Amino acid sequence: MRKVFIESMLVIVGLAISIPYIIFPNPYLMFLFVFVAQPCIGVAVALVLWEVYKDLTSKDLL
Amino acid sequence: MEIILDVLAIFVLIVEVILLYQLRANRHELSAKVRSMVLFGIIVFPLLALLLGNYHVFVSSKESTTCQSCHVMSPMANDMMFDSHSQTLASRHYQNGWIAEHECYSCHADYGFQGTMKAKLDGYRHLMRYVTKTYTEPIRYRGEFNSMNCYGCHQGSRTFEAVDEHAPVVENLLGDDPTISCLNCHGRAHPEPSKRTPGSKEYKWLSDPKVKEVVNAQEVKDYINTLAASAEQSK
Repeated sequence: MRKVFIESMLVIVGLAISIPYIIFPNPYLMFLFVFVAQPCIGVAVALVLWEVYKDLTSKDLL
Repeated sequence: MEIILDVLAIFVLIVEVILLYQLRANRHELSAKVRSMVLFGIIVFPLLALLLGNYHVFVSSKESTTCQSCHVMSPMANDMMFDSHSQTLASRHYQNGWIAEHECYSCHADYGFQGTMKAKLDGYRHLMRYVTKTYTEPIRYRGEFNSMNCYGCHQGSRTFEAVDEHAPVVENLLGDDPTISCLNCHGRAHPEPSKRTPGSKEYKWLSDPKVKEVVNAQEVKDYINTLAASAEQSK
């Protein structure tokens, strides 16, 4: 599970911005949410899905 | 709705902390439990947080107070909400209670979820320039205001239809290449740039945030609504 370390870090960064933005919305947090948090979580999800795809193809399940 | 969002956000945070902690503790074996923790901890709950955040970006941002939270919008907000002598369209609409809610968004609807992609990109550009402070006052609207946003509310109203001059305007607006703007006849929507220029006589008052007075503006609005209701009853 070494690979989910990067994804976990990206998710932590994304949530560390998203949750304060949802509770205390302001222009600066909105900027961080739009330009930092969303890409971080998007990349994390994409990396996990890529790992799943690689895992499934290596086992001839896909 | 705001409270539900806040509670959901805190719930997501708590679950996420537990999941990531458990994931770290069980990271050596790729069991079904770990796989489900990855599914929920890295895909489902973060996406839920994004959904909640985007709700704020597209829905809560319709509130006029959200627009007002950027310092650069203070001249427009103060003129609209607090200047009782102002004759701008925004001020007349707000202070006469012609728009019940989402006063900014009602005219600038293009920024919303159903608006054009260009408007959304403009919104992101405005946000970027505000946060990085790469703007100069007075700010100016780069594009052209879509008069169909006015027509959306005024269409079919008796006072609008009664004015014969509106017929060719509507025809023009509904055409492929509209050349007329409502502002051509009805005046400025917001204070002129000279008043919004730092150093001008009006700038200090216009740019001074008046957040606390929002409550009073609501009271004025409620009072106007009460008057309208009593006028209806007396008919």
